[in-house]
Amino acid sequence: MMDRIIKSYKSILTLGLIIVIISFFIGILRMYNQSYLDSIVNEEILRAFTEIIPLFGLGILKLGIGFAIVTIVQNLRATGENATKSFAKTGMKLPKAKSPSLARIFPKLLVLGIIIEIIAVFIAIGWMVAVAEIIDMKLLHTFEVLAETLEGLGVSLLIGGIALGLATIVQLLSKQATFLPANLSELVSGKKQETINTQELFPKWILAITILGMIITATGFLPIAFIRLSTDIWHPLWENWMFVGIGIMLFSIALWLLTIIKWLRAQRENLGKTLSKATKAKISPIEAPLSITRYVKILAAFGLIWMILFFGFAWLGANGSIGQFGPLVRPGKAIGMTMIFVGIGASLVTIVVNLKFTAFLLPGTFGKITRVIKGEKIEDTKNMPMANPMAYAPKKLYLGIILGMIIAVLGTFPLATIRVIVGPTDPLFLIVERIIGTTVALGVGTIFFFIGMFFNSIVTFVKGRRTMISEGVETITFYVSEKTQDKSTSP
Amino acid sequence: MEDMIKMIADAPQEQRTQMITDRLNMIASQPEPQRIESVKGLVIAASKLDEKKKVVFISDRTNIISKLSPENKSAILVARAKIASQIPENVNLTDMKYTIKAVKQWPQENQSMFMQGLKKAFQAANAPMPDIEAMMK
Repeated sequence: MMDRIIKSYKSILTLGLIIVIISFFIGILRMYNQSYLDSIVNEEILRAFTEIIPLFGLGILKLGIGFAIVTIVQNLRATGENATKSFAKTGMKLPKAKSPSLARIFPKLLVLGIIIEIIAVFIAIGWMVAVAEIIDMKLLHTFEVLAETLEGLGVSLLIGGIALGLATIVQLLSKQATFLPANLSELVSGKKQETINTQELFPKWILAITILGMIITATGFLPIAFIRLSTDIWHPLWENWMFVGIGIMLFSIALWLLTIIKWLRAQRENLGKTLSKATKAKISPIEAPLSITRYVKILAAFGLIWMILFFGFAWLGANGSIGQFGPLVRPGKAIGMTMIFVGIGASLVTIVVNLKFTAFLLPGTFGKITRVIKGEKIEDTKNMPMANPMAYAPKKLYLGIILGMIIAVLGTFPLATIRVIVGPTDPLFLIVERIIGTTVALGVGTIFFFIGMFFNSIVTFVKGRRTMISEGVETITFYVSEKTQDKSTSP
Repeated sequence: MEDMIKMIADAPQEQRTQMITDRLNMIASQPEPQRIESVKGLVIAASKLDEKKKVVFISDRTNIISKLSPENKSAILVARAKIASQIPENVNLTDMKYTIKAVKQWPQENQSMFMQGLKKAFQAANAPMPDIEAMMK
């Protein structure tokens, strides 16, 4: 059952995007809704809807991305298990494979995150009913505070789950990028190969950053939500604080993706060295790192600093120090978030290009090593042409992220500036406020959808990689075993 | 397998040709039971591609098979013949139809050489040969 849901990540992504789009149109409806002049109740119900439902749509999108990562992890593990079984048939002594602890934790965080978001939706429905029935104002406030902050807690678990999923990929990939070529070399040469301890290379400091981001975001619920029940805190102050946590988690995601790129390149380099040793031919080095990868850290760091700055502005705003510019503080932080997403998109482009090159490399590598083991002479050591790596970049998917960024940015300063210009007494001040949140959510939703599509593309390559490595290792080990048997039976 | 074939079918021509060549050589060098499974997976996965990509993929595959070493070519064709009864009939016939369509683009001499190889493969596999004459028309 759970496996079937995980496999439906594309449908989950589509559902999330639909919810975000519907919420955007509700925002438009709310903008044209003049009924608030006659009845504030309608307006309050629509406000409750647009505060929570777009975020829930984004939660569903994050779940879709998370489940795509679960699929990637499942395939990476299957690749490792298949290869280990095949290597073991040759009598090779292999260290006992342990499943990475993070592999068990992150899917649970994703599920828990979405359950908490669903609870927040139910509380939001309670909030809307409380508004409609004009029940006790204190209860209404409790519903509002709990719905908003539980939504934040859900975000913490979902984005944290995605980040820890990527950390699991790093754990598995680093192992496979090191041991697979080393074991193949051992089969060809008959000599044990020196390998590095990939566990020591695992970047624990990125894990610490991820956890820090999760904790900061979660503090929006505990203790801030409970403080808010008795004390009024200016909305942008607590919200921008939670977004500092989200920014830190997104920053850590960019760092995990860069680490994945490092290991994908290491995998190709190590396979090239193995092939070179086996065929005694010179293999040309892999291409230089893609230029766009250089911008990932810059964009992510700049985006995070921007989000921290906006928490600072919220602090000043709460103390009444920024005067009429108050309306810029709440939406302005989203620009920092989109900057990090553009960086994340650039690293995903590099990952897809690297996976394409890995796919080009694998069949030839295994084919040639098999021939060497069979005792054939390799004359054709021509490398796969890999000039102009950017020609293999999934540009349409990246443009989708840029489109999302533009929509999200339109919902920030351009709209907020109108509010600053007209001032709080003008009806336009409230009208514009109504579409800011849903426009930003539509932009971020578009970004999440295209990030999900990037991961879908990665799933295809990882599944292909599994088939090629599993079959390749199985064939090689078959001939090695056959050779060993021949030797042992010959007089 | 499906994802791998989709990945190969989506690759640019030069890389696609190289990957199919490497892949077929790899499959040809596999032990027979594994080779049969791989060819079966390859044919079924190709049948799931969209029509345009399927025609191009099968055409590329056929062209590449004709250029393999005689042993590898024979290994692949015999495995192809052996799986004919193990895959759905429509998949088998469509795959054959597009294979023949690709063959028909070649010079007459190459056509007859390939067809002879195919007939031998079906004989070696003890499998009934589809009505290729009708497909050739």
